[in-house]
Amino acid sequence: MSVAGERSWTGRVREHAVAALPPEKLLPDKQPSYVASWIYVFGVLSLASLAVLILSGTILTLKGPQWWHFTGVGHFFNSLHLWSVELFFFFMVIHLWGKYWMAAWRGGRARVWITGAITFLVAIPCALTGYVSQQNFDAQWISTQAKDAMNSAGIGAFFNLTNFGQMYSFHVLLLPAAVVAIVVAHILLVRKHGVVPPLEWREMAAKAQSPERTETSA
Amino acid sequence: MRPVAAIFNLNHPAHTVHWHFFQMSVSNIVVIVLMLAVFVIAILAPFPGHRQGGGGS
Amino acid sequence: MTRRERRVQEDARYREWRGAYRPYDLVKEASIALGVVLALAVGLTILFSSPDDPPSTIKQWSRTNPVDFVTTATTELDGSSGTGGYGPPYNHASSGQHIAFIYLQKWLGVSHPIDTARDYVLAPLRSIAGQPALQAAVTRYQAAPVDKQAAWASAYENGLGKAKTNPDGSISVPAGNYGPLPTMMGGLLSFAQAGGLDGALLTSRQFFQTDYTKPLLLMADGSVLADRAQAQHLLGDQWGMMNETGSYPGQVWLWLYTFWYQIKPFSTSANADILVMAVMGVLSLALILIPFLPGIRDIPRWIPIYRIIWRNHYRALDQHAVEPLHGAPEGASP
Repeated sequence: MSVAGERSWTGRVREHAVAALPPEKLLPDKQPSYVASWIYVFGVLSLASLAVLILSGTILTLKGPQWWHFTGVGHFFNSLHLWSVELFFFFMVIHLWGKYWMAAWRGGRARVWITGAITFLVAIPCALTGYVSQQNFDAQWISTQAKDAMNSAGIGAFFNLTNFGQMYSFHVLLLPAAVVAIVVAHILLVRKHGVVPPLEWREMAAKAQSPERTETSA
Repeated sequence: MRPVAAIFNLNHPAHTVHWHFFQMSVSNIVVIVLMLAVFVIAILAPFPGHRQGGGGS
Repeated sequence: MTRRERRVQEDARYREWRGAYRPYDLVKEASIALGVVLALAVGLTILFSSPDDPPSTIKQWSRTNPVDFVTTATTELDGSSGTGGYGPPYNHASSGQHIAFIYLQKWLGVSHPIDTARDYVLAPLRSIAGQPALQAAVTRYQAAPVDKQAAWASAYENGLGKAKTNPDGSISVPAGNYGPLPTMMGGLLSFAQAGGLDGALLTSRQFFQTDYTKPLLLMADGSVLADRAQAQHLLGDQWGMMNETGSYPGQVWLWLYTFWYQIKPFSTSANADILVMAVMGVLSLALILIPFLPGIRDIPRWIPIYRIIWRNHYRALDQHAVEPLHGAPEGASP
């Protein structure tokens, strides 16, 4: 431990980070007993879909934006990319529904909800920039239609859907980076605050939280 | 456009459902119905017992 | 204790779970999820692939529907086209859409200037070499007073309503007082049918271009894209925002965006886009702020789906409440 640990910026960042997320919280090997429903898998399924999205998208960037129109392999990866978008939104919305009906923002977890909602809302323009980067009829139609919504709000002045170069840059770098950054914040907040406990249906729920009641591991 | 090797060729105009001003393609309706079904099943389906791992968050 | 105080106290208990835990393998779970999603994505790819309808080009458009092409080009010349009258960010022809006194479209300005007469007709025609009669027609048009130009264009547009397509791809218009327009538009049509207009509009600024705004707006002003879109159920009043070409699932998450366009006042408003953007902006903010919205944040309590999700947990609580009376060992699982 450095003598200047508490005074240096690095030391303070490290201590703050470790205090908020000690290793056993960052990578836990136990979870609360109430996390026992299939609804809980949709967060990690959304994350896995995002990973497949990024992987398939990365392959598409290797050969440039026209590759997929002219080769079977390219078309295969484009299809992977499109279906993982569908899966991403499919799982993410079910995850959102589950978290809403669990009122998962309770107990100081408002920021978990907020970062989750923002992820969804940023993923939508990220998908839009993808659709207008396809360089096919769908891209022609979507860009010439959606431009009216952008222009009406003045956004079109600096975000031109019919400008392929700009839209491709947003789609390949800026917006996925934004989605990933917000998702990372979301996950770290879940790890920090823990999975929200069940709503107190009756008073005995309060009794459930007594320190003596800890199961031994299987 | 290269011919696409898929088992089911979806490259034909979509069948749509019309009801008053509501119009939706059958494919989108299938997705929505699937989402609702998966949500309900996820909530109702029994989860493996406490002694086993593999839970979610 | 007020209801608010009780709620705050209850919320404090939710901060940290001090009850039972059980073993859990996070990395294994993430790996399984990745495998499942990969399998699903690959499976869907093998079953259905993905759509790739080839783009329309001005060359195709001018060959398959020369009357529509020439009509559109004439409206670009006299500024009566969609782009010609659009306003910002393309020109100052209108103030654009607004809500009350808020004119965002106008305030953000003309960032992508398009002079439809010059960019779509006059400049491309001027670039055509070796056709002195055509250049003379353009010169005659440019030298004429503005009201004469407008009269020619208006008459020509009326004539185009009764135009015929000739076997060689050119068009014939009934006789009328069109000035140099038939020569000019004949030249533009040939240029487009040879593929020259696609390239000219794209590289009008410099050799390397990735901005397709000009050619796309020209096509959008005509019917070439809309005709294809209608066949694919992509038009606004077909809830097209949610749809994909072919029978593929589309953008289901846009259901609420497109919904507003189907109902009044949005469906009949000239400011439909900004109105829908405003409504969706407010609703998006509300989604983000649900934890703070009374009523909305309480619905999960009133409609207790949570009792199904956590039924095992509540059952365990019930049993533990009962078990001590029956002398069951401490810490036994249900």
